[in-house]
Amino acid sequence: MSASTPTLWIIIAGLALGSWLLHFSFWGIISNKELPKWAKRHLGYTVVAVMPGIIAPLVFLPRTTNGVFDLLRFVAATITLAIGD
Amino acid sequence: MYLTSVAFLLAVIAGAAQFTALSLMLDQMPIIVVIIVGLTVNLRMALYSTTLATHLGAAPFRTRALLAYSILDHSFALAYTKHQENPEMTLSQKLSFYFGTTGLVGAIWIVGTGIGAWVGTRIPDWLALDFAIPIAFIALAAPALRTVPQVSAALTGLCYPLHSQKSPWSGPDCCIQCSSSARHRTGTPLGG
Repeated sequence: MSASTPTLWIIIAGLALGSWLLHFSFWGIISNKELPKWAKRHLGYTVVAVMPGIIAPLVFLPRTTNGVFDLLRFVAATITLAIGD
Repeated sequence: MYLTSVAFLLAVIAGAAQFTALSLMLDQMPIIVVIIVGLTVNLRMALYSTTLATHLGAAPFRTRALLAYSILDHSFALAYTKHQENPEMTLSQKLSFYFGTTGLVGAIWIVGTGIGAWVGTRIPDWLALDFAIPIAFIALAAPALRTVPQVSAALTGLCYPLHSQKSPWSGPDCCIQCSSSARHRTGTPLGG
Protein backbone atom coordinates (compact mmCIF):
# COMPACT_ATOMS: atom_id res chain seq x y z
CA MET A 1 0.00 0.00 0.00
CA SER A 2 1.41 3.35 -1.00
CA ALA A 3 -1.39 5.37 0.62
CA SER A 4 -0.76 6.27 4.26
CA THR A 5 -2.94 4.82 7.01
CA PRO A 6 -4.57 8.11 8.16
CA THR A 7 -5.45 8.94 4.54
CA LEU A 8 -7.02 5.52 4.14
CA TRP A 9 -9.14 5.97 7.27
CA ILE A 10 -10.29 9.47 6.24
CA ILE A 11 -11.43 7.98 2.95
CA ILE A 12 -13.14 5.04 4.65
CA ALA A 13 -14.99 7.41 7.00
CA GLY A 14 -15.94 9.80 4.19
CA LEU A 15 -17.23 7.02 1.97
CA ALA A 16 -19.08 5.36 4.85
CA LEU A 17 -20.92 8.51 5.91
CA GLY A 18 -21.54 9.67 2.34
CA SER A 19 -22.89 6.29 1.24
CA TRP A 20 -25.22 6.01 4.18
CA LEU A 21 -26.61 9.53 3.69
CA LEU A 22 -27.03 8.84 -0.02
CA HIS A 23 -28.97 5.64 0.67
CA PHE A 24 -31.00 6.95 3.56
CA SER A 25 -32.03 10.27 2.01
CA PHE A 26 -34.30 8.42 -0.38
CA TRP A 27 -35.79 6.17 2.28
CA GLY A 28 -36.34 9.28 4.40
CA ILE A 29 -38.02 11.30 1.65
CA ILE A 30 -40.35 8.52 0.57
CA SER A 31 -40.97 6.79 3.92
CA ASN A 32 -44.70 6.27 4.17
CA LYS A 33 -45.81 8.19 1.10
CA GLU A 34 -47.37 6.24 -1.72
CA LEU A 35 -45.51 6.92 -4.97
CA PRO A 36 -47.54 7.66 -8.12
CA LYS A 37 -48.19 4.69 -10.36
CA TRP A 38 -45.99 5.93 -13.22
CA ALA A 39 -43.04 6.37 -10.85
CA LYS A 40 -43.48 2.82 -9.55
CA ARG A 41 -43.65 1.50 -13.09
CA HIS A 42 -40.40 3.24 -14.02
CA LEU A 43 -38.66 2.07 -10.86
CA GLY A 44 -39.65 -1.49 -11.79
CA TYR A 45 -36.99 -1.39 -14.51
CA THR A 46 -34.14 -0.72 -12.08
CA VAL A 47 -33.01 -4.35 -11.84
CA VAL A 48 -33.04 -5.08 -15.57
CA ALA A 49 -31.40 -1.78 -16.55
CA VAL A 50 -28.67 -1.36 -13.91
CA MET A 51 -27.33 -4.92 -13.72
CA PRO A 52 -26.48 -5.24 -17.46
CA GLY A 53 -24.86 -1.79 -17.27
CA ILE A 54 -22.56 -2.92 -14.49
CA ILE A 55 -21.46 -6.12 -16.17
CA ALA A 56 -21.26 -5.02 -19.84
CA PRO A 57 -17.60 -3.91 -19.74
CA LEU A 58 -16.67 -7.00 -17.71
CA VAL A 59 -18.22 -9.33 -20.29
CA PHE A 60 -17.21 -7.60 -23.52
CA LEU A 61 -13.97 -5.79 -22.61
CA PRO A 62 -12.49 -7.71 -19.66
CA ARG A 63 -9.59 -5.91 -18.05
CA THR A 64 -7.76 -9.12 -17.28
CA THR A 65 -7.35 -9.63 -21.05
CA ASN A 66 -6.44 -5.92 -21.50
CA GLY A 67 -9.86 -5.07 -22.88
CA VAL A 68 -9.79 -7.69 -25.65
CA PHE A 69 -13.01 -9.66 -26.27
CA ASP A 70 -12.70 -13.11 -24.69
CA LEU A 71 -14.85 -15.89 -26.17
CA LEU A 72 -14.70 -18.11 -23.07
CA ARG A 73 -16.03 -15.31 -20.85
CA PHE A 74 -18.73 -14.47 -23.38
CA VAL A 75 -19.88 -18.12 -23.59
CA ALA A 76 -19.96 -18.40 -19.78
CA ALA A 77 -22.12 -15.26 -19.63
CA THR A 78 -24.48 -16.54 -22.35
CA ILE A 79 -24.94 -19.89 -20.62
CA THR A 80 -25.75 -18.13 -17.32
CA LEU A 81 -28.33 -15.96 -19.10
CA ALA A 82 -29.93 -18.99 -20.78
CA ILE A 83 -30.19 -20.97 -17.54
CA GLY A 84 -31.44 -17.98 -15.56
CA ASP A 85 -34.14 -16.94 -17.98
CA MET B 1 -4.17 -5.50 6.33
CA TYR B 2 -6.92 -8.11 6.80
CA LEU B 3 -8.53 -5.99 9.47
CA THR B 4 -8.38 -2.85 7.33
CA SER B 5 -10.00 -4.67 4.41
CA VAL B 6 -12.83 -6.00 6.55
CA ALA B 7 -13.29 -2.64 8.32
CA PHE B 8 -13.45 -0.90 4.94
CA LEU B 9 -16.13 -3.35 3.85
CA LEU B 10 -18.16 -3.05 7.05
CA ALA B 11 -18.06 0.74 6.97
CA VAL B 12 -18.88 1.24 3.32
CA ILE B 13 -20.74 -1.96 2.28
CA ALA B 14 -19.96 -1.37 -1.39
CA GLY B 15 -17.53 -3.46 -3.40
CA ALA B 16 -17.36 -1.36 -6.55
CA ALA B 17 -16.93 1.93 -4.69
CA GLN B 18 -14.19 0.37 -2.56
CA PHE B 19 -12.26 -0.88 -5.59
CA THR B 20 -12.56 2.47 -7.30
CA ALA B 21 -11.46 4.33 -4.18
CA LEU B 22 -8.47 2.01 -3.71
CA SER B 23 -7.45 2.36 -7.30
CA LEU B 24 -7.60 6.19 -7.17
CA MET B 25 -5.72 6.17 -3.86
CA LEU B 26 -2.92 4.19 -5.44
CA ASP B 27 -2.82 6.78 -8.21
CA GLN B 28 -2.21 9.40 -5.48
CA MET B 29 -5.40 11.33 -6.20
CA PRO B 30 -6.56 13.96 -3.65
CA ILE B 31 -8.76 12.57 -0.85
CA ILE B 32 -11.79 14.63 -1.90
CA VAL B 33 -11.62 13.24 -5.46
CA VAL B 34 -11.38 9.69 -4.11
CA ILE B 35 -14.48 10.23 -1.96
CA ILE B 36 -16.54 11.96 -4.66
CA VAL B 37 -15.77 9.34 -7.32
CA GLY B 38 -16.41 6.52 -4.81
CA LEU B 39 -19.81 8.02 -3.99
CA THR B 40 -20.62 8.45 -7.67
CA VAL B 41 -20.10 4.72 -8.18
CA ASN B 42 -22.53 4.27 -5.30
CA LEU B 43 -25.23 6.46 -6.83
CA ARG B 44 -27.02 3.38 -8.16
CA MET B 45 -27.75 2.50 -4.51
CA ALA B 46 -29.95 5.62 -4.29
CA LEU B 47 -32.01 4.18 -7.14
CA TYR B 48 -32.11 0.81 -5.36
CA SER B 49 -33.25 2.47 -2.13
CA THR B 50 -36.05 4.35 -3.86
CA THR B 51 -37.20 1.23 -5.71
CA LEU B 52 -37.19 -0.90 -2.58
CA ALA B 53 -38.96 1.87 -0.66
CA THR B 54 -42.05 1.25 -2.80
CA HIS B 55 -42.37 -2.00 -0.82
CA LEU B 56 -40.62 -1.30 2.48
CA GLY B 57 -41.20 2.44 2.90
CA ALA B 58 -43.67 1.91 5.75
CA ALA B 59 -41.01 0.35 8.01
CA PRO B 60 -40.07 2.22 11.20
CA PHE B 61 -37.20 4.75 11.23
CA ARG B 62 -34.61 2.45 12.80
CA THR B 63 -35.37 -0.35 10.37
CA ARG B 64 -35.08 2.05 7.46
CA ALA B 65 -31.73 3.30 8.81
CA LEU B 66 -30.49 -0.31 8.87
CA LEU B 67 -31.92 -0.94 5.39
CA ALA B 68 -30.07 2.10 4.06
CA TYR B 69 -26.81 0.81 5.51
CA SER B 70 -27.15 -2.80 4.42
CA ILE B 71 -28.43 -2.53 0.86
CA LEU B 72 -26.48 -4.70 -1.63
CA ASP B 73 -26.92 -5.34 -5.34
CA HIS B 74 -27.81 -8.96 -4.61
CA SER B 75 -30.27 -8.47 -1.77
CA PHE B 76 -31.94 -5.60 -3.64
CA ALA B 77 -32.48 -7.66 -6.80
CA LEU B 78 -33.63 -10.78 -4.92
CA ALA B 79 -35.95 -8.93 -2.56
CA TYR B 80 -37.50 -6.64 -5.17
CA THR B 81 -38.20 -9.55 -7.57
CA LYS B 82 -39.73 -11.56 -4.71
CA HIS B 83 -41.88 -8.64 -3.54
CA GLN B 84 -43.14 -7.96 -7.05
CA GLU B 85 -44.08 -11.59 -7.66
CA ASN B 86 -45.80 -11.98 -4.27
CA PRO B 87 -47.87 -8.84 -3.66
CA GLU B 88 -49.78 -10.60 -0.88
CA MET B 89 -46.70 -10.59 1.39
CA THR B 90 -47.08 -8.47 4.54
CA LEU B 91 -44.54 -5.79 5.47
CA SER B 92 -42.96 -8.00 8.13
CA GLN B 93 -42.68 -10.91 5.67
CA LYS B 94 -41.06 -8.60 3.12
CA LEU B 95 -38.63 -7.28 5.74
CA SER B 96 -37.77 -10.82 6.86
CA PHE B 97 -37.05 -11.84 3.28
CA TYR B 98 -34.89 -8.76 2.71
CA PHE B 99 -32.83 -9.18 5.88
CA GLY B 100 -32.52 -12.91 5.21
CA THR B 101 -30.94 -12.33 1.81
CA THR B 102 -28.79 -9.41 2.89
CA GLY B 103 -27.60 -11.31 5.99
CA LEU B 104 -26.60 -14.38 4.01
CA VAL B 105 -24.87 -12.46 1.20
CA GLY B 106 -23.27 -10.12 3.75
CA ALA B 107 -21.89 -12.96 5.90
CA ILE B 108 -20.33 -14.72 2.90
CA TRP B 109 -18.93 -11.43 1.65
CA ILE B 110 -17.31 -10.50 4.99
CA VAL B 111 -15.69 -13.95 5.33
CA GLY B 112 -14.64 -13.81 1.66
CA THR B 113 -13.05 -10.39 2.14
CA GLY B 114 -11.01 -11.68 5.08
CA ILE B 115 -9.89 -14.78 3.17
CA GLY B 116 -9.12 -12.67 0.09
CA ALA B 117 -6.96 -10.23 2.05
CA TRP B 118 -5.11 -13.20 3.54
CA VAL B 119 -4.65 -15.25 0.35
CA GLY B 120 -4.45 -12.16 -1.91
CA THR B 121 -2.39 -12.43 -5.05
CA ARG B 122 -1.67 -16.11 -4.47
CA ILE B 123 -5.04 -16.83 -6.13
CA PRO B 124 -4.01 -17.99 -9.63
CA ASP B 125 -5.21 -15.98 -12.63
CA TRP B 126 -6.49 -19.05 -14.47
CA LEU B 127 -9.33 -19.36 -11.96
CA ALA B 128 -10.72 -16.19 -13.63
CA LEU B 129 -12.35 -15.08 -10.38
CA ASP B 130 -12.91 -11.66 -11.96
CA PHE B 131 -15.75 -13.27 -13.88
CA ALA B 132 -17.67 -14.21 -10.74
CA ILE B 133 -19.15 -10.67 -10.68
CA PRO B 134 -20.79 -10.75 -14.15
CA ILE B 135 -22.00 -14.32 -13.61
CA ALA B 136 -23.68 -13.35 -10.33
CA PHE B 137 -25.27 -10.21 -11.79
CA ILE B 138 -26.57 -11.99 -14.89
CA ALA B 139 -28.12 -14.65 -12.68
CA LEU B 140 -29.84 -11.90 -10.66
CA ALA B 141 -31.23 -9.98 -13.65
CA ALA B 142 -32.10 -12.87 -16.02
CA PRO B 143 -35.25 -14.07 -14.19
CA ALA B 144 -36.64 -10.53 -14.34
CA LEU B 145 -36.39 -10.38 -18.15
CA ARG B 146 -39.95 -11.28 -19.06
CA THR B 147 -41.41 -8.62 -21.32
CA VAL B 148 -40.21 -6.72 -24.41
CA PRO B 149 -39.84 -3.42 -22.47
CA GLN B 150 -37.74 -5.22 -19.86
CA VAL B 151 -35.44 -6.70 -22.50
CA SER B 152 -35.17 -3.28 -24.20
CA ALA B 153 -34.21 -1.68 -20.88
CA ALA B 154 -31.56 -4.38 -20.41
CA LEU B 155 -30.12 -3.86 -23.89
CA THR B 156 -29.99 -0.09 -23.35
CA GLY B 157 -28.25 -0.64 -20.01
CA LEU B 158 -25.83 -3.01 -21.74
CA CYS B 159 -24.90 -0.63 -24.57
CA TYR B 160 -24.53 2.61 -22.64
CA PRO B 161 -21.35 1.82 -20.65
CA LEU B 162 -19.73 0.20 -23.71
CA HIS B 163 -20.43 3.33 -25.70
CA SER B 164 -19.19 5.70 -23.00
CA GLN B 165 -15.94 3.87 -22.25
CA LYS B 166 -13.92 6.68 -23.80
CA SER B 167 -15.73 9.54 -22.01
CA PRO B 168 -13.49 12.02 -20.23
CA TRP B 169 -13.16 11.43 -16.47
CA SER B 170 -14.55 7.92 -16.73
CA GLY B 171 -10.97 6.65 -16.97
CA PRO B 172 -10.08 2.98 -17.12
CA ASP B 173 -10.12 2.73 -13.33
CA CYS B 174 -13.31 4.65 -12.64
CA CYS B 175 -15.69 1.75 -12.97
CA ILE B 176 -16.33 -1.62 -11.47
CA GLN B 177 -13.87 -3.36 -13.72
CA CYS B 178 -10.97 -1.81 -11.88
CA SER B 179 -11.59 -4.67 -9.45
CA SER B 180 -9.10 -7.03 -11.01
CA SER B 181 -6.37 -4.41 -11.44
CA ALA B 182 -6.84 -3.18 -7.87
CA ARG B 183 -6.65 -6.75 -6.68
CA HIS B 184 -3.40 -7.36 -8.53
CA ARG B 185 -1.87 -4.16 -7.32
CA THR B 186 -2.81 -4.35 -3.67
CA GLY B 187 -3.65 -7.94 -2.97
CA THR B 188 -7.14 -6.76 -2.05
CA PRO B 189 -9.78 -9.44 -2.35
CA LEU B 190 -12.41 -9.69 -4.97
CA GLY B 191 -15.93 -9.21 -3.73
CA GLY B 192 -19.26 -7.40 -3.91
